[in-house]
Amino acid sequence: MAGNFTRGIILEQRKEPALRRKLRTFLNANYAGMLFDSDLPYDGAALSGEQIIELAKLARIVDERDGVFLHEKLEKARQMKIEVVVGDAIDDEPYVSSQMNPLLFMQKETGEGLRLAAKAVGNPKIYFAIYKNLSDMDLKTKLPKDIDGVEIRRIHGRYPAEFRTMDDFDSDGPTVMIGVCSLIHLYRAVYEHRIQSTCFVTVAGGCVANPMNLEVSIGMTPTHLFERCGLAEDPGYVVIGGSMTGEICEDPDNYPVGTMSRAVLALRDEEKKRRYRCIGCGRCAEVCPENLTPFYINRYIELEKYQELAFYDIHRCIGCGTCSYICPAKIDIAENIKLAVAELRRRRRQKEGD
Amino acid sequence: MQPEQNSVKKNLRKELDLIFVKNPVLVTGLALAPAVVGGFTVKNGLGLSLVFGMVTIPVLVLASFLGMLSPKVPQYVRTIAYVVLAALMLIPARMLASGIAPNLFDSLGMYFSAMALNTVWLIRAPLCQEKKPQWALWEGVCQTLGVSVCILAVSAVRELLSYGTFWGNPTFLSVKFPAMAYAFGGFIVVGVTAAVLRWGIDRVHDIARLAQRQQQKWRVER
Amino acid sequence: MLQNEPKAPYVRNRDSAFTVMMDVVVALLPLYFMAFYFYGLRALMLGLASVAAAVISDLACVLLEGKRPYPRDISSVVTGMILPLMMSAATPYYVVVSASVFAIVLVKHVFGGVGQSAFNPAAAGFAFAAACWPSQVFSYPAPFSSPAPFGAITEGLASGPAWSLFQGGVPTNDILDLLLGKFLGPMGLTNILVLATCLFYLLFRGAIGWQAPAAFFGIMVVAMMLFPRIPESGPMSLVYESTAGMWIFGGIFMLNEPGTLPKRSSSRIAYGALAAIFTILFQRFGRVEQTFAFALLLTNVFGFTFDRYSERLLRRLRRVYLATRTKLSEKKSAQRA
Repeated sequence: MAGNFTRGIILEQRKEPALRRKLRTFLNANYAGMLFDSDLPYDGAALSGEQIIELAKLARIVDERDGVFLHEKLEKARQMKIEVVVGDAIDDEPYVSSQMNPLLFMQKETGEGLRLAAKAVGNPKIYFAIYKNLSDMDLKTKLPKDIDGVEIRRIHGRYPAEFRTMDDFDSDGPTVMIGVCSLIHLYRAVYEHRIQSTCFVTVAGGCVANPMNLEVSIGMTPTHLFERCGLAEDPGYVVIGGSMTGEICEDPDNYPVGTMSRAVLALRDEEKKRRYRCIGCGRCAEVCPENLTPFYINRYIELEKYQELAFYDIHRCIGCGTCSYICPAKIDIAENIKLAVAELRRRRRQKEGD
Repeated sequence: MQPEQNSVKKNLRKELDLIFVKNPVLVTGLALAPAVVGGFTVKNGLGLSLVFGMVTIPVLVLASFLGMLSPKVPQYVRTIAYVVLAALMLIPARMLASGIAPNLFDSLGMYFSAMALNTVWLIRAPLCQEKKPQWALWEGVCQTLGVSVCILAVSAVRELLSYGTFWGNPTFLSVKFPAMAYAFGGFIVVGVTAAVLRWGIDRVHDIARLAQRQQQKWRVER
Repeated sequence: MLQNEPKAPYVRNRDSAFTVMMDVVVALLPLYFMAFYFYGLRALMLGLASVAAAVISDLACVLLEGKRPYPRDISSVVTGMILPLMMSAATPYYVVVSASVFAIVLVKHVFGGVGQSAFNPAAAGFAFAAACWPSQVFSYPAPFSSPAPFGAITEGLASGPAWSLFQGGVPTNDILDLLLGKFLGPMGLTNILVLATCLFYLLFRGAIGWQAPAAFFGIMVVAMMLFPRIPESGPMSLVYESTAGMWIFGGIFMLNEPGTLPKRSSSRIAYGALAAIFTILFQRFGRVEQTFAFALLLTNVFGFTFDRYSERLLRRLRRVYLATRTKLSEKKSAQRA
C-alpha cells in the first residue's frame, strides 16, 4: 500500500466493462509498424543505459503522464541519480483506464520496459503503481500480485490521486514516475526498433455501445473511434481527456487523438441547467486536496477583486475539479479559478511590459 | 455685469442641492445620531430642526467673518470660538423650543444639547472660512432646510408607525410598530428613507436626461 | 464555444442546493408536527403565514433587483419555517408576518441575497419581533389548550420556565413534562428529544458540519453544569436550561446557516465556542429571557474574521508542509548517498 489520501472525494469509477476487455488495436494502415534505423542490437540485455536512451530518442517516445519526451526524462533522471523508478498506471478519473488496461494485458512488455528504463537510469528500485480504491465495488478486475516479477504498489484513497502519489514514493528516495504506455513503446523501440506511432486511449461514456481500450494510431479522430466502438445514442458532447479534467472536443470529425488524450468520452448532456447562486456551504473547502478555500477564491473572482486571490494561495490550485464536483449550487469553481489564474498572469505580464 | 450675475445665480443654485440631492443626513450621513435617536415624533423633529438651524447658521456666518477679518488667528482658537457660540445659541433655542411644546427639552433630553456640536458645522465651518458671509448664510439656510426635511419626514413616519398619531393628534392608523420609536427602528427608517431618496433622484435624473435628449433632437430638427 | 457548454468536471455530485435546503425543511417538519400536537391548527397556520410572507417578499425583492425568479431556491422557505417555531403559539399574525418580511427584505436581500448575508435572517427576524412586541412573543398558551387558529388571542397566556430562569428562580415543572416538552414555551422548541433526532438526521445527511454544533453544545453543557444560573446542582440546571431555552434549536438550525457559518474547520470550532460564550453572557446579563438569537447575531459578525485568521494559519501550515517534505526527501537521499 503506497498512499492513502484522506482529502478529496470518492468517485464512482465506471471503468467496467472497458477495463476487463482485452486491449484491441485500431490502426491506420499507412502508419502501422514504422521503424527507425539503428545499428544497435535488438536485445535489451546487450544494451547499456545510454544506448537505451538513444533508442528512446530515435523512437520519439512521449510519456503520456506529462507530455515530456521519454529520453529527456531518462537523461535527467540519470543525471539526478534517481533511486526509484515507478511505472505509473494510476487512472483515478471515472471512465479512464488507458493505463491500467495495457498494464494488465501486456504484462511482459510493460515489465520488460520498466526494467529497460531502470537500466537507463542507473540501478534503482522499480515498482508499478495502480490506483485501486477499495471503496469502489464495481471494479471486477482482480489485480495480479506482480507484473512480470515487478512489484505492484496499490494507491488507495480519494481522488485526486495521480498528482499526489509522488510524495509517497519519495520516502524511499528521489523518484521518477513514467507512464506505462511509454514503457510499452520503449520495449518496442528496443526489441523491434519501432517508432511510437500509436497511443492508448479509452473509448467510453454513456453513449458508447461497447466501451473498450484501444491502441490507435496517433491522429485518428474521435469520429473514427466511435464508429469502431459503436454509439448507442447521439452524444451530448465529446470529451478528450479524463472526465474530471478533460476538455470538450468541438470538432470530433477532425481532432487528432494523441498521446496525451488518454480517453475519448461520449457523454450525455445530463446536467440540468441550474441557476443557483453560491449558498456558502463550504463543502468546497472541506474536499480540496491542497487544503485551499475555493469558496473565498470564487467569491473574489465573482467580485473581480483579483488582488485578494494571492492571499488565498490561488496559484497552488492543481486543477483537479474536486470543488466543482461537490458544489451543490453547481458552480464551475475549477473553471473560474483557471480563468482567474490566466487573468492574473496576463495582468502581471502587462505590468511588467509597462 | 453678466458673468457676475451668472455666478450669483450659480452659487444660489449650488447650495439648493443640499436640500435633496446632497442631503447632509441622508446622503452624506452627517448628524445621524440626533436624527435617528431623537426624532421619533413630529414635535421632536421640529424641535431638533430648530436647534440645528439656530446653532449652525450663526456658526457658519461667524466662520466666514473670522476667515475674512482675522486670517492670522490660528485654527484651534477659531474652533473654540465656534464651539462657544454654538453652546450659547442653545439658550435662545431652548426658549423657542418651549414655544412648540412645553416639555420638548425634557423629552429630547441629551440630543437637544448634542445638536450643538453636530458634524455638519464641524466639517463645513473650516470650508466656510473661505466664503463671503452672504454665501455662508445661504449655505447654512440650505443645510438647515436639508436636515429639517429629513428629520421631519423620518419623525413623521416614526410617529405614525409607533404611536399612530401626528403632532399628538390620533389618526386612523392603529398602533402597530412601537419599536420604531427606538434607536434601531430609527436606523431602519433612516436607511429606507435614504434608499427611497436615492431612487427618487435616479428617476429624476433619468427624466432629465430624456428631456435633454429630446431637446437636442428638436434643435437638430430645427 | 457555446454559452451553455458544460465545463470540466463532467461528472458531478448528485446533491444540489435544492436537496441541501430540502434536508433542512424535512428536519423542521417533525417540529411542526409537535407544535400541531401541542397547540393545534394555529401552529400550522402561523407557519404557513410566515412561509407565504417570506416567499412573496423574496419574490418581490428578486424582481426589484431585476433578476429572474428561481423557484428551486427555497432558502426563503427555510427562513419562513424557522421563524414561528421560536415564538409563542399565541403570537398575532402581524408579528410573524412582519418578522418574516423584515428578515427577508432587510436582512437577506439588502446585504446581498442568498449566501451573502452578514447576519442570520431568521435570528434577525426573531430579534426584531422580540424587540418590537416582547409581550406578544414571550407569553405562551398552555399546551393542549387549543388556541383559536385565526384572530388575536388575549387570554390564557403566561410566562414559561424561561422566565423563571431569567429571574433567577427554579421552574416548578415536572421533570418528565420538561423532557417531553409539555410546558409553556416557544412553539417548536420544547421537545428536545425530537430536536436531537433532527440534529442526527442533518448530521448524517451531511447538511451540516459537526464542528460548530460540537463546539457550541460542548461549551454550553460544560457551562451549564459547572456554573449554573440558578441554585440547583449541575445536571438539574442543565435539564432546566436546555429544555426551557432556545439554544438547542438555535445550535442546530440557526448556527449552521450556510451563508454565515465560517468555512474552515478551525474557524467553525472557534465560531461555535464564541456563540456559546455570548449566549451565556447574554443569559447572565441580558434583558430578555430567550437570548440565543441576539448572541448569534453578535457572533455572525466574527464569522469572516475567524475565516481570515484560519486562512493565515493554513498558509503557514501549507508552507511548513512543503518545506518539511522537501527537507525529508533531501535528507533521505543524502543518507543514501
